[in-house]
Amino acid sequence: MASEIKQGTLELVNHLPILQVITPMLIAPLLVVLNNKTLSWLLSFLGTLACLFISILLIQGVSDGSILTYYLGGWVPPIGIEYRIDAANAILLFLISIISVIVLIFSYSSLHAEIPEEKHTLFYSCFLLCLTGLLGVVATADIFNVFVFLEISSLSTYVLVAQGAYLDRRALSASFNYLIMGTIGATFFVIGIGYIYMATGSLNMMDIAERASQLGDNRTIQAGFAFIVVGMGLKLAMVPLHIWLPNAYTFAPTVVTCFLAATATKVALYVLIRFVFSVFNYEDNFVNELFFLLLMPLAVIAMIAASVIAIFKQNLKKLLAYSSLAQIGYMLLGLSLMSQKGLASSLVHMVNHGFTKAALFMSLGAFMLNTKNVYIKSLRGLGKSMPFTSAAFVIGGLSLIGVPGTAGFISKWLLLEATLETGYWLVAILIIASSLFAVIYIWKIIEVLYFSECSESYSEVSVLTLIPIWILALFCVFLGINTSLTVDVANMATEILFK
Amino acid sequence: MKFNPFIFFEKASRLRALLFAFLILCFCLFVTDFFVRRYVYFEIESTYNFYSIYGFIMFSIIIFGSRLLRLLLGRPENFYAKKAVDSEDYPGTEEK
Amino acid sequence: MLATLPLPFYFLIGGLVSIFMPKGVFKSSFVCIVPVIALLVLLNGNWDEGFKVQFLDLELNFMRVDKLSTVFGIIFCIAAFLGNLFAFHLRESTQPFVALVYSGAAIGAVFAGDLITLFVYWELTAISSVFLIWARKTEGAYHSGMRYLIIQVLSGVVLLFGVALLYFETGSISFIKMELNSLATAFIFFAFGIKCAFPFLHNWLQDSYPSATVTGTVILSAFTTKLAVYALARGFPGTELLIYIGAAMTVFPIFFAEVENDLRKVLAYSLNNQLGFMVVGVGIGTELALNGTAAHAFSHILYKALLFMSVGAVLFRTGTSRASELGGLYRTMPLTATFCLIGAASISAFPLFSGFVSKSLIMSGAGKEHYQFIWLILVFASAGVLSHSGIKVPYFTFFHHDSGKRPNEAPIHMLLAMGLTAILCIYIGVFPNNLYAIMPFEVKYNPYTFEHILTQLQLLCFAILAFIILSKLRQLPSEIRSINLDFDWTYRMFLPFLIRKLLLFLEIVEQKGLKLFNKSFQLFLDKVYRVSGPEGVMTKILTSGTMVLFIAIVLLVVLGIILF
Repeated sequence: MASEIKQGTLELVNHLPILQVITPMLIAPLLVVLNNKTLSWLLSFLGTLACLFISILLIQGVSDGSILTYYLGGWVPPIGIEYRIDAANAILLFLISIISVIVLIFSYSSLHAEIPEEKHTLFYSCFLLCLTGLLGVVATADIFNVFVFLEISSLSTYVLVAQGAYLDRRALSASFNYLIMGTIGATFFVIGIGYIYMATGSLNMMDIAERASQLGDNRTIQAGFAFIVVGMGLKLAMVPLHIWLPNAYTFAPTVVTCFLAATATKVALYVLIRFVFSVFNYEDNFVNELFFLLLMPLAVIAMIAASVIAIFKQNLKKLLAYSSLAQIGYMLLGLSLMSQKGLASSLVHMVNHGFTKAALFMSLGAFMLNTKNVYIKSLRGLGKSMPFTSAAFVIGGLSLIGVPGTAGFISKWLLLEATLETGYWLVAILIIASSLFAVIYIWKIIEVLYFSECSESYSEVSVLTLIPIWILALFCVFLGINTSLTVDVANMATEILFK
Repeated sequence: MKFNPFIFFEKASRLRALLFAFLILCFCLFVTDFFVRRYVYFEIESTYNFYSIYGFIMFSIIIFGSRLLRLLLGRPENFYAKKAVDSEDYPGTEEK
Repeated sequence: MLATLPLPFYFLIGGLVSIFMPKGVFKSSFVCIVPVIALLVLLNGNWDEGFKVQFLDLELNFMRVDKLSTVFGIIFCIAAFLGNLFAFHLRESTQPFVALVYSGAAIGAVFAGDLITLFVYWELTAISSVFLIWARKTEGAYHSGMRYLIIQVLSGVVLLFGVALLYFETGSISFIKMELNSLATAFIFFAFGIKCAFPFLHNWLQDSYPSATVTGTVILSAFTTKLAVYALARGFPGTELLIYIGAAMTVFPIFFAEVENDLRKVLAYSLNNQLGFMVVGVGIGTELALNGTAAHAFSHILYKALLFMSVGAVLFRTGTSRASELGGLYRTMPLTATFCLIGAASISAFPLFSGFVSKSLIMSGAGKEHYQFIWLILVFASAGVLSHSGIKVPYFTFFHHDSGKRPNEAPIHMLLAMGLTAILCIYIGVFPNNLYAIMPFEVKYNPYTFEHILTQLQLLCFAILAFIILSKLRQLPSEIRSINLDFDWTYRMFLPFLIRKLLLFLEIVEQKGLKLFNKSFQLFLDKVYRVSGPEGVMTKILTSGTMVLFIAIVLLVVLGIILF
């Protein structure tokens, strides 16, 4: 299965896994040195474009069910660090890369409204570091390496969130809270890694899985698992540990929110999935018990409660942030069903929701360019004066609700199918109820956009701002019609994970 | 003015003639039933002039029943909301 | 080839194209022509293969063309054409677009060979048609449309849930005859029931149709409910429960219609009553009865559209459709009055008019299967139809006492649309065999026997006689500006009231609870504050200390679950 890298050959294609991660990492310091606003945008854009290109190559490489591995520095695992690309992380690499490209296009025309010009270079540099971290977390098969990249992405994220302080000082306290929470999460995560290392003496995922299965019922490993779940629970904003998320999303610059909402939480969830399936044994009692007794109820609570809260929010960024919490609930629910279909729905929803939420946040950002604030009242009558942005927002909203023909429908349908297959009727009904709540809060916005009188007249935003928004909106529709990219890859990924 | 058949019957005498013609029709229908043996699905249908009587009585029941209904459920037009469709005028017509 | 496209796509593409056309005669003609093209494609195309599409692991069929779906496809195309012709004067972009999408969605649903496709079009009919109500652009219409949308979308959601359950149970999503014996089919049945305006689920109909625009109501009246009838005929033929539901549907709207003031609402109630006949036909489920349902839907769409058109034309000219403000319009709108009378005669099932040849199929169906009580109710309902649609609508609009209004005759395109519809009504009534020829099953039935004509005339004439006598005795319910409570009271008054009370209650509980919470945790929180520094702008609950507390609790729980 695994196409091993031939040592000594210099074929570029064999180095794709590392190139994926290292490209943005190398560009990031370069920007600081050059210290030119436009140039740094261009370089980061080219860098992310390269990432996207690489990720597409990688998807093609794994689309036949094979696994690409790469030994860093030629050191053979378990001693060396291994990068391991299969269908599950290839799709995430693609999501992260493409979202970063789109976000960068958007930032070209909108960043000046949110961040002072002299900080732009640093911003792009941070952005690329964050991207590096996220890509690295996904690509690597070494658990300590996961932690390192997680920290890279987290630290840069704190900085990025804090940039919102230019418009609203509350971004600082939001970022600070996020920092505390994130650091605790990372600490828990590293404690978990420590426990695992203590019990197995290895850091490579495949190796650990092998050694742990020989150890049998081991308390140390189980405790390690507990810490990792809580640590990742924090990062992915599982419900009682979600408190950092609404404020961080609300007060961060829109570009950052857009990027984080589409990628960061998904990456954390991916780590959890990877640990459950590749490091631990998903058939073990303690894993199943935890998912059934705790994570599933929490996911359902998130799904319902966050949606209800979203209905009452007047601050649109906050509204979408809470809706993100609910959507994370869907993904977590899919995972906690512990079935192939459930996991597939979870993976598909990661991608679909990534595009959907990015489209929503980005069109919201476009509104903000004109209205200068995020309250629902300020959108009055914008459906007429900003028709293209509004239409994109509506498409994103429909996808969020799960209207047929949009990406959201596909993943909700899969999830519904998975819950019914497992026999959780009540959960299926709750999924539908939660979708109805989504109808309400999206409708609330559409009503203001199209059915109330315009107080001030604005002009439509520039074409350069519209292009990324519409790319995302069209993706929402495209992924709702053509499912070969999402569903087929996810099915392949689940087969590999459930091997 | 073009020919308007309805105006032709505006005259009271013509209207009365029309009414009279209708009464004769009813009478004929009533009598004809006496001579016709009908194929029936149910026993009750073969009752003499079943349809005439049933139609007459049921129509009366409908009228009185609906008056009772209005007595119980009738409400002013703006019962649900001040600006409900029930009470508003159709917007933007050419003739007021 | 273009001809191989599924039928609804012609409407959807046509609708999209129409948006970009300049408003004017050309655009209006285009909108009229689209359904005609679609009809030609339907009749001349070869659809044996269907139009199959792979979606996820499901095979969808967009074009399942058999006799039953063809009947509804044909009449929907005709109705779309007539409705758009009636709306020829519109110079706007929303309504023509929406009308095309809506009719296309309904046709798509009719030809859907599987339940997923059905669901998609099912929702599309809901979402598109609501704009015909909102196009009225008043506050009342907005709220009414909102209620309509919620109920219709709910029907779709229930349908989807049923489909998902069914798929899980049987592994199949094909749209075929179902048995009402599982939760899945019950959900689907309920979803159909909402759209079909079953008793207690019917209020959206009387609420929304009178709220739409003049032209919107004509379009609305044709599709949604008949789509539901089709779905029932396809999915649940011979389900006995439907007979009783249908019988109830024929009876109760009669009384409401009789005292309702808004004539378009009268027609909406009468529509409900006519649906009852079709539902009974589906419930009986014999070939004769199903033919009756299809035939009745066919002729019903035409005469109901004709009635809505004539009242719509009056509304267009006078600005009101209230019985209390109309009367005596025969003087200046004789043609509209004539067409209205033709529609009234058709719906009342006078011989030589369309209702006569279609309704009698259902009545005979009930008779042949020995449902005596049901049959009596249907005869009663026939008299009822006469009372509100046959007499009340034309009488109070065009005759009765003079309202003093002297509006112009309806515009030429409206007259044309009404004239064509009226001709079709009479044509079907005079040559029923042409209608019978396209029915799903072979029809061996002759409506024009002497005894049938005689009994029908007896029923109708003596009902009219009763009307004349009661009218002379001044016993008819007077026309006053009022409304009547129906079941919608529960969600328009009672439920909001209940929710308001509940919210009030919750607020009190919340405040009390918060106080308690604050008191007991005050000491603890104080400590946390001192640790976490200045309060800043974050609200109390959101301090980092509290978050950390949460983390600790979750960790404990997780460890507890895993280790013990």
